[in-house]
Amino acid sequence: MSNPASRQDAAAPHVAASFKTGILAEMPHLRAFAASLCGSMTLADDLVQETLLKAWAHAGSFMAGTNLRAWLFTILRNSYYTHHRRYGREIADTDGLHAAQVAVAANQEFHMDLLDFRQALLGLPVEQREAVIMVGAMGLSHEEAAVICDVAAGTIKSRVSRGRARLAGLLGLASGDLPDMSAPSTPPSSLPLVR
Amino acid sequence: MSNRNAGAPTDHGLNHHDPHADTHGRIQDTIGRALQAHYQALVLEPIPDRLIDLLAKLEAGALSDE
Repeated sequence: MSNPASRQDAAAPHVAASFKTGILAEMPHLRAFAASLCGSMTLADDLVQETLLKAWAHAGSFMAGTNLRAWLFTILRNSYYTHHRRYGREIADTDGLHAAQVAVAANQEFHMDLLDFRQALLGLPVEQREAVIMVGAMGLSHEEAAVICDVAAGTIKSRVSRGRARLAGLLGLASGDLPDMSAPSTPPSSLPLVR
Repeated sequence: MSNRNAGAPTDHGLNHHDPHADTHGRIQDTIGRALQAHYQALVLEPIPDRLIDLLAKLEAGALSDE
């Protein structure tokens, strides 16, 4: 049940403290999701900044007690699709997420490093990329991801499935054909991630 | 979400196994781990001051809407 009083609070100049606390708690996830979408931490922070401004401007439309994460992710995602999609694709190669040669797979058979994986991730169509991140990395249900993307849960399921298959292809992993993935590609960097 | 055992239920024995299904499962496990490693590394990145400052200004009412 919605509480009219909480709506009033949110619409007032001084937004409820719990709203700010909630946004602060979601900030690392908003940045991680944004960076996964656009491939750049700098652009991700621009997107998060825009999301914060919009969230505050529309605080009155957030119903206290409902899913703040889904609400914020929807705003962020809409901002990305409105302004940043083309730009993000253009700069993905030069201002990308650089990673040290960190092995991400605790599996001797399929060694890969984070940089290779991130490049493959950016090679996915963005609809598949966001679905794979939300379900495979954040652990959202298909239904939760469907609300954020405004599509049916079955659509998310299909995007995750196709995205994961495509990732395997981009990484050179294919059933029955096991390439040597252990060759180091880049010298180690002092920072695991630079802007 | 696991894509292993996508076909009919199998017995519990290790004698019966489909190498292609096993390989597919291990590939998908690897991708799952890589996805989580990618995401966790980003979540642990320190939040820049400009975003913390913005939130403080919004809370103080120092910025108008838009």
